[in-house]
Amino acid sequence: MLDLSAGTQMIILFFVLVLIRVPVAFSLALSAMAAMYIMGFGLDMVGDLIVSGIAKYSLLAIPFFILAGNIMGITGIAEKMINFFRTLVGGLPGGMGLVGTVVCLFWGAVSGSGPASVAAIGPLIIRGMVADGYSRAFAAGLVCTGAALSLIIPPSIGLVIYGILAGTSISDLFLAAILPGLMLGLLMLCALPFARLSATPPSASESASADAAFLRAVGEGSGLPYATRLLRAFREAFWGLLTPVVILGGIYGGLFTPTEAAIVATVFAMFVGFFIYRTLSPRALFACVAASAGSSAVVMLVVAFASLFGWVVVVDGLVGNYSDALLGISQSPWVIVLMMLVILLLAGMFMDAITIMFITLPIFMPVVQQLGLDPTWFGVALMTALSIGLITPPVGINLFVAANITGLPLGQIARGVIPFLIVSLIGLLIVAYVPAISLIAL
Amino acid sequence: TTLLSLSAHADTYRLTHNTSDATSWQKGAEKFNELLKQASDGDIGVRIFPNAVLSGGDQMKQAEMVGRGDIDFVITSAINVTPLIPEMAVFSLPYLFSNYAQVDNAIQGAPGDAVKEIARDNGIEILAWGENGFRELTNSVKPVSSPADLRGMKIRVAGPMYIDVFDALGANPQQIQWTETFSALQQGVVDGQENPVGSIIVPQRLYEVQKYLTEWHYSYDPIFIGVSEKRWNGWDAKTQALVAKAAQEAMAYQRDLARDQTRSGVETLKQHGMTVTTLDATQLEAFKQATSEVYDQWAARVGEDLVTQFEQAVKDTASQ
Amino acid sequence: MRSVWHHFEEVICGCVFLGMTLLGFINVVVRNLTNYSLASTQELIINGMVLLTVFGAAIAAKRGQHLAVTVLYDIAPARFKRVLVVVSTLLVLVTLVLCTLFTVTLLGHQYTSGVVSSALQVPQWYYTLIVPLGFVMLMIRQLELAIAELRRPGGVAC
Ligand code: NA
Ligand code: NA
Repeated sequence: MLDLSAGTQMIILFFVLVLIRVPVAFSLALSAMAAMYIMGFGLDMVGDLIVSGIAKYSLLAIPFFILAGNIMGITGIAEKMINFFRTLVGGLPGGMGLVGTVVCLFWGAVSGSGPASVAAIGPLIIRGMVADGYSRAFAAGLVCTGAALSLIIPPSIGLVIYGILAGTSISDLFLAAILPGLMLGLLMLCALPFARLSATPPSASESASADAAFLRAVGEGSGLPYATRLLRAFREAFWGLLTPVVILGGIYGGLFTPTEAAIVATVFAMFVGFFIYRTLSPRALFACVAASAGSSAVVMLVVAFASLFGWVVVVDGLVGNYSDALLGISQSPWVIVLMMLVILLLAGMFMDAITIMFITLPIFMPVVQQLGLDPTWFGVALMTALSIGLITPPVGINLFVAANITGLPLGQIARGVIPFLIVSLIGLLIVAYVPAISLIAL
Repeated sequence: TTLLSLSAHADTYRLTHNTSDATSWQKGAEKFNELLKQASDGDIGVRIFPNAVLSGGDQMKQAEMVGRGDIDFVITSAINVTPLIPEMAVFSLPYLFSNYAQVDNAIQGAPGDAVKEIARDNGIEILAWGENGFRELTNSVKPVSSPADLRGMKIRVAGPMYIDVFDALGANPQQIQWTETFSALQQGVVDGQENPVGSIIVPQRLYEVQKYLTEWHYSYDPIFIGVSEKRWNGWDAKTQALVAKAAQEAMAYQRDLARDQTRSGVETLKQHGMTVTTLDATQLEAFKQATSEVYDQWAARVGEDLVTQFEQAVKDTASQ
Repeated sequence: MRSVWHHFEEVICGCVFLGMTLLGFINVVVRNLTNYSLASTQELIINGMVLLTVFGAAIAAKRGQHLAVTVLYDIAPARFKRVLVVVSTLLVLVTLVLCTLFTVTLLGHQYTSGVVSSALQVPQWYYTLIVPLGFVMLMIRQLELAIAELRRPGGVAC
């Protein structure tokens, strides 16, 4: 006879609920409450746990970075940034692939959430890449992967939550993640030559019509010299390009904390939208704010209910059991790290990054501590693995958003992502086994 | 809940505290468990939950949950309980105590018992007092020996009374979550902070980001072991006596440990290059004067009777 | 009237979110430029976030945005899809009813014990009240979403 602990029963129930399409947040809550009922302890605390689960100062970064990213989307900052990079290097053969990657990296320094980035810059990059001869599926694959880097390149909602759960300095995490994020972007460029292998080329008419629209936007063929066009594009994009400088400069210049940086970024985006580009109306702003409240609540509700789930994991003693099992398999830190990364990648196929952190960190952190590994570096490696989860089927939120904006079936986008997936996995191994890349910045 | 049961059916109660598992609080909790088991032949023990995990990480909520009987035991500091029991602010009134002798005389005596009485009305039986310590000031700008030195300095503080204190001293108090405090000090978002040396400043490695320490003993913070009134009343007199004795011994052990850590902690800070400023009576008096209004204001909130009891105990303590 | 009901959460969340932004920004400016401290106002921003979470969740429910795994649902035949919608909605409602009851209980405890907030020292139940109200709103929106889904032939929202 199987004698399962309440915590193990909770985990099984959670997966059953998720499978029958109960939203992740509610599956966490219901399975946790069932476990509390079985344990005969904890139901009286549900109210306290829900409230204390969300009323945490550092979590403020989540709604504010989502809001900042969305406002920048509607003010046209994103479009002007793309135009600038297109003017800069877009003339090279296949140059839009490079432009798309660079824009993703830059956008990653503004936005803290992967799916929000796909929605904000995806349509423009895909349009430009198709004009340049790439297939829509491959372009979508690039955007999904590049946007996933938003989770690694600071600011990152994922790193904020990791910092809270692991008790690690969030500014250190931000600093440590910069170089790995750039390296992963560089690796993406290595996938560009394989564009033809992974997807069908676009039709001539599709390519031509996209091209004409794009050339108009960047002033190519207007007869103006390169330097003039570049300068004009730079002037247009200047405020957008300034955003990462404001955010990171403010944090490391001692003007505000990473959490406050999210608030400052929001105000900065509003300022640019209202007074510089004059593209933002009070009405549009209000609609954007309400919609952002909805998207941040999607994350925050998971956080709230995951606090019940995490509580059961701790009280039931699951943490100790699983981490002992993990440590018992091998003595080598590198083998154990590899196993943890594989678990994260597998979990990433089905769940979103934040849920995974809430479930796995109580198990992983004691192991990391016991092995004497650096929690900052581990956070970056973990976040790299979780960002890959955004682009792996069956549940890859970035793929869903890309399917939504391109109208392509999920299967085609998944195929377009394959070359990027391979280089991302190579990147993950480098981040995991060359800690210096993360730690050199500290 | 009977002492006759076999040890296989031992009663394991849950104890929550809000620091990590490497602090004197945790050591005190472990001692408590050890003593309980010893005295009860293994029939009674506690399972320790550090970092306030039982209350979802919220250190303020622990006392509330113990008061309702949802958690059995708590070790927490008086500051964390003031939202529930405002009278707990009495210990930390600025410059109420100036040395350990005064602290011990007041807290281990009748004034401490008066606070226990108040806690009882809120569902918590306080079994014994331990120590978090005197809160000292650190900063990265300059040595602080007078209120004028503090002018305009951005200081991270722990609660509403401290905001008033630092406002009165002309500083710029800020509330920043503990998780962000280290990096805020590092980047210069704030210049300084105030916390006990032994239990926070040394173990949290604040010497990496702070240059100056001022030993100004401006506010005292005790901790205590409390048990939910529900649980307490369910025990017979013999069990109650056994639990109370274990708690007192455990907290005495913790208090000694905390004082040791504070003494050696100041040396550690010097070794790491911090400049330590110790204030003489005249210098202390300047701080005391500057904060006397805040003292009166918060004493009124605590209740004059209770404050008078504490002041009397301080006066009655023979000077060292 | 109908339009107000449909956009109730948007109005609340929009106003609170903008208010939080303003307050947070003023706090940064005041700290860096003046010698005043608005430190205690952080409490308002944090509890604003609690409001954003529960009422924003109602916005997300209305739009079918809550993270869910649809692998099984996608391959299920139409009739089974309807069963899944009914069952999962019922389970969501059960969860929300329980959470509402538990937070109302907490509200009662806080009202009785008179516990105050740690910074502004106002009764804690003022803030807690937000949560069950939001859960009730969320329940209504989940129910509306399920009804809309069942009416739409072969419809799927994710
Ligand atoms: Na980012
Ligand atoms: Na995935």
